Amino acid sequence: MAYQNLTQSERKKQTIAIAVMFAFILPIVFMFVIFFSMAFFKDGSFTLENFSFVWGEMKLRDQTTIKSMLPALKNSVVFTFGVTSSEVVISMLAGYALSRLRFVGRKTIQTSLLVLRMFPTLLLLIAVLYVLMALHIVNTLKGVVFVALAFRLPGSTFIIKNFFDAIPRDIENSTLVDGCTRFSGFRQVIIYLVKPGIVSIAVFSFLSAWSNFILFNTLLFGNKTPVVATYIRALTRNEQMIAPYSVIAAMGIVYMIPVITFFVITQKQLMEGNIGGGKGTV
Amino acid sequence: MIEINNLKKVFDHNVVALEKFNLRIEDGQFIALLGPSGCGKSTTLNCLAGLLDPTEGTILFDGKDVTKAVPKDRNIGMVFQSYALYPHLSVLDNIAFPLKQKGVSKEERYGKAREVANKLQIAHLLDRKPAQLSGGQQQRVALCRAIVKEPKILLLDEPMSNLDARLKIEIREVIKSIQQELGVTAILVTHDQEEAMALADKIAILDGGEIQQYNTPDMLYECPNNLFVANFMGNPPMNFLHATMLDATHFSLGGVPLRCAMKLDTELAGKQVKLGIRAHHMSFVFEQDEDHPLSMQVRLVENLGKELLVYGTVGNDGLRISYHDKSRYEQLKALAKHKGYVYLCLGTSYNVFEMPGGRNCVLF
Amino acid sequence: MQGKNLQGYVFLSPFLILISIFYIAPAILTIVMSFSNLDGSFIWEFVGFENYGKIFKDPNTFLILRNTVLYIVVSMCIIVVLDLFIATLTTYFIRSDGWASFFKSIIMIPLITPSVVYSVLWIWYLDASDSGFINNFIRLFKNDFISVNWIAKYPFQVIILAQVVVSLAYGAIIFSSAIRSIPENQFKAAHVDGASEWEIVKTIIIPNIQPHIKFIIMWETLGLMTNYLNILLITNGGPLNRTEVWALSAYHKAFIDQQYGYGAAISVLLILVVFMIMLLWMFASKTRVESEE
Repeated sequence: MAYQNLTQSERKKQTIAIAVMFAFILPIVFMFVIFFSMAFFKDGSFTLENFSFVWGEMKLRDQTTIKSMLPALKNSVVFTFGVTSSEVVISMLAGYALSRLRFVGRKTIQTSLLVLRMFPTLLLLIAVLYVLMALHIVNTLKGVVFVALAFRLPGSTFIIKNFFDAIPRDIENSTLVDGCTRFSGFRQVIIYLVKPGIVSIAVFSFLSAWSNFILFNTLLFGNKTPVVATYIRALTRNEQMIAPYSVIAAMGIVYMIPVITFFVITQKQLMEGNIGGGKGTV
Repeated sequence: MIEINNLKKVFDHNVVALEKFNLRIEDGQFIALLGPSGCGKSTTLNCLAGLLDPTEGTILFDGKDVTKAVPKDRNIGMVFQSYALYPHLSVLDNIAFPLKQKGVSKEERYGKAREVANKLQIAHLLDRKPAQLSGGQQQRVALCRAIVKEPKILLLDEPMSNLDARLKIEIREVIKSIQQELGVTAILVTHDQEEAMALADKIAILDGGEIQQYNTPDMLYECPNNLFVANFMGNPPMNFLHATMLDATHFSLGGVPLRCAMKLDTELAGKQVKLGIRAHHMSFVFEQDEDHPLSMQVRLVENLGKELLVYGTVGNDGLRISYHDKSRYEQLKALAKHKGYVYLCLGTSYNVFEMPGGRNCVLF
Repeated sequence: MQGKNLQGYVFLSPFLILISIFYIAPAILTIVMSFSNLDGSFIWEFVGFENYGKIFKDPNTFLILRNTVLYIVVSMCIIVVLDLFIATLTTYFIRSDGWASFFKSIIMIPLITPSVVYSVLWIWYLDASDSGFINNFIRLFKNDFISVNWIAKYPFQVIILAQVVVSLAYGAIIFSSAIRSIPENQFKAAHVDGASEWEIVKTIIIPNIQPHIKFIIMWETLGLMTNYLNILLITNGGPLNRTEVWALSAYHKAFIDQQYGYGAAISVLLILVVFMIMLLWMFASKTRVESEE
C-alpha cells in the first residue's frame, strides 16, 4: 500500500508506531554501535592500530602476543566456500530428483527430510566425533566440511525442492519437445527458474558456514586448524578477556564485513520469509 | 501417417486414462481430440509427444514405431495450454530455442526465427521478455516456437483456453492458416466444441478413455453415434424429448402419438427413446391443428439479433428453438409472461436414441 | 522402470552418502553409545541402562531440568509476544515499506552476528570491570555507583535476554509475511464496523496467523531446547550450574569430562522429547488441514 494513500488517522498511527519501534530498537543499535566504534580508538584518539592483527603479530600492553588472523581467515574462507558451493550443488541435484523424478523410495525420503530438517543435530556431535575418528578425518577441515554439509543438506534440499515443485510441468515438457534432454533442459532453462531458491540457499549456507563455531569447537582441537570463530573465542574466554575489548571489536568488524556485505546484497531474499533456520542450527 | 494402436495408459493408483485406443491420422490433416476434462485427450497427446510412456500399445509415425522414442527424436512441435515460454529468454531466443538444440548456427536460427515471427506478425516484439507480452502475443510466440523447426506434427494442448472470446477467434484463424501453409499434421486437444468444429478436418470425441466417434465435424453434428456425442456438439445444444416407440414407425410424445419421420435400423416397439432435435430443425405454430397436436409451454424468449431463441417445456423436457420471424417477438414475450402455449413441428431431421444406452438408431 | 530408479538415485547419491555417514550413522551411534561407558580412551564396554540410572541419581539433574523448563518457557513467551508486537507494528501500523524493512533489518542484525562476537558484546555490556558498558553508563549519573558483576549476579536473566534478542527476527518476519497475506478487505470491513485497533489485532490478525504462531512456538521450543550455543559462550552454564541446561550438560559431560557414553544418554533423552514435540506438531497440523477440508 502506497504511503500517500493513507488517511489522516492512518498516518498518525504510523507515526506513533515508528516512534515506538525506534524506542524498541534503540538499545540494540546502541549496544552494537558503541561496541564496534571502540575498534577505532586507543587511549581516546582515533587509530587503526587495533586492526594490526590482520597482517601480522600484535603485541598487547601486558606483553602477550596475538598471532596473526591470516591463517584463520584463510581456513574460514576455504571452509565457507567449500560448504556453500557443495551445498548448493548437492541440494539442487537432490531437490530436483525428489521433485521431478519418480523412483522407489521417493516418498520415504521426502518424509524423512521433514524430520531431519528439525532434528537437533547439535546433540549428535559426540557420535560425529567418533565417526570422524573411524574415517581418519578427525581434526581436519575436510571432516568439518562433510559434517556441516550433512547437517544442513536436509533443510536446503527441502527449500530447493519447493522451488522445483513450483515450476510448471508445461515448461519442462516444452524443453523436451524442443529437443532438450532432461539434463540440457535443466542447464538451459530449469536452473534459471529456481534462481531465487539457489540464492536463498547460498545466503543461508554462507551465513551459517562463516559464523559457525560449535562444529570447530568440538571437532577441531589442538589449535592445528584455526578459523576466525575459534581464533576470536580463544581470546575471549568467559572467565577473562585476553585482549582488550577494542581489539576484539576490531576483530568482530573484520569477521563481520563479509556477513554485512552479503546481508545488504541479499536483504530482500532474507526478508521474504523463507529463512532456513535459526541461529546456530549449524 | 500417424497410427495409434490399442493404446492403454494406467496411472498410479490404477487410474485408467486410456483403454483400447485406436486412431489413424492422415498426413496434413487437422485433427481435434474433443471431450470433457478427464476423458483422456491430454493423455493421448502426451503419449504422442513422448512425454508419457503408454502402459500398452504402439504409436507409429509413418510406419515407424516411436512408442519408446524420446520427444526430441519425434520431430514434433507443441503448443502448451500455459504457453510455457522460457521467462529468462527474450522472445527471439524463445523462438530460436528448438533450433539451438539441433545445433543450428546462430545466424541461421535467428534468421529462421525472424522469418516465422514475421509470418505471425510479432516481429516488433522480438526483444521483449515473455512477461512483457499479452496473452495473445504469448500464444503467437509459443506457436512460432512450435513451428520454427518445421516439425512433421504439430500438437496443440488446449492452446486457446486462456484467451478471451475475441482473441480466440483471431488465434484460430492464425493457427488454421499456418497449418495449411506448412501442410503439417496438427492435433488439437480441446474441450470447446466450437473451436474443434472451426479448425478440424476430423474430430475424435472422447469420453472415459474411449473414442465415442471419429469423423468430420459435419457428420458429428448431423449424425451423432450416440447421446454423448449429440450432447457435446452444437450450440445451442441439441434438444432431447422423452418418447415411447409404439411400433416401427410411430412414437408417443407426451401422450400424443406421432409418426416417426426417420428410418430406424432396428425394431424398437415398446421401448423408451429420446428424440434429439437441433434448435434450428424444429419450429412451431401459434394455433393448434391436426398437423401440430403437440403443445409446448413458452417460458422465455431471447432476441439474438439475427433470430429469436425460444425456451419452453414439453412435459419435463426443456427445449430451445430458433425462430426466424422476428416480428413475433412481442407476441412471444406476451406468451412467455402468461405461460401460454405454442404447437410444435418436429421437422424431418432428428435423431432417435435408444434408452438406456443412448445409441442412435437412425439409419442414415 | 529400472532405469528410472537408477536415474533418481544417481541424482540423490551425494546427498544420501553424506547424510548416511555424517548424520544417520551418528544418530544411531548416539543411541548405541548411550548404553556404553565410552570415554576418552575409546574402549567400548556396554553397561546396559547404567548411564540412564546415573542421570536420575545425579543431584544436579533436578536443577538442570528446572533451568531448562524455565529457560524455554520464559524465553518462548517473551519471544512470541514481542514477535507479534513487532510484526503488527511493522506490517499493519507502518504501511511504508521503507520504514518497515528498515526496522526488520535492524532486528536481523543480532541474528546474523556470529555467536562468538555476539556473546562478547553481552559480556562487554555487562562486564564488572571498568570497561563494562552498563556499569560505566550508570556511573555517568551516579558517581558513587559500585560496579556490579551483572552476569554473575543475574546469569539466568542475562542468557534469556541474549537469546530473546537473537531469536526475535525469525518469528517477526514469519508473522509479518503472514499478516501481509491477510486480505485488506477484512481490515476495511472491520473499520467500517467500527472496530478499535486492539479489536482488529485480537479478532483479525491473531486468528488469521494462528497456524504461524503454532509453528513458531514449536520451532522456538525445539530451538531453545537443543541450542545451547549462547549459554555456552556467555555463562558456560555457570556460575555453579545456575544456567546449565539439559543440552549443554550433554556437551559438558561429553567434551569436557570426556564421558561420551553418559553424554550420549543425556542426548538420547532429549532427542526423545524432541521427537514427541515433532509428532505432536505434525499431528496438530494434520488435523488442522483435515478440518479445513
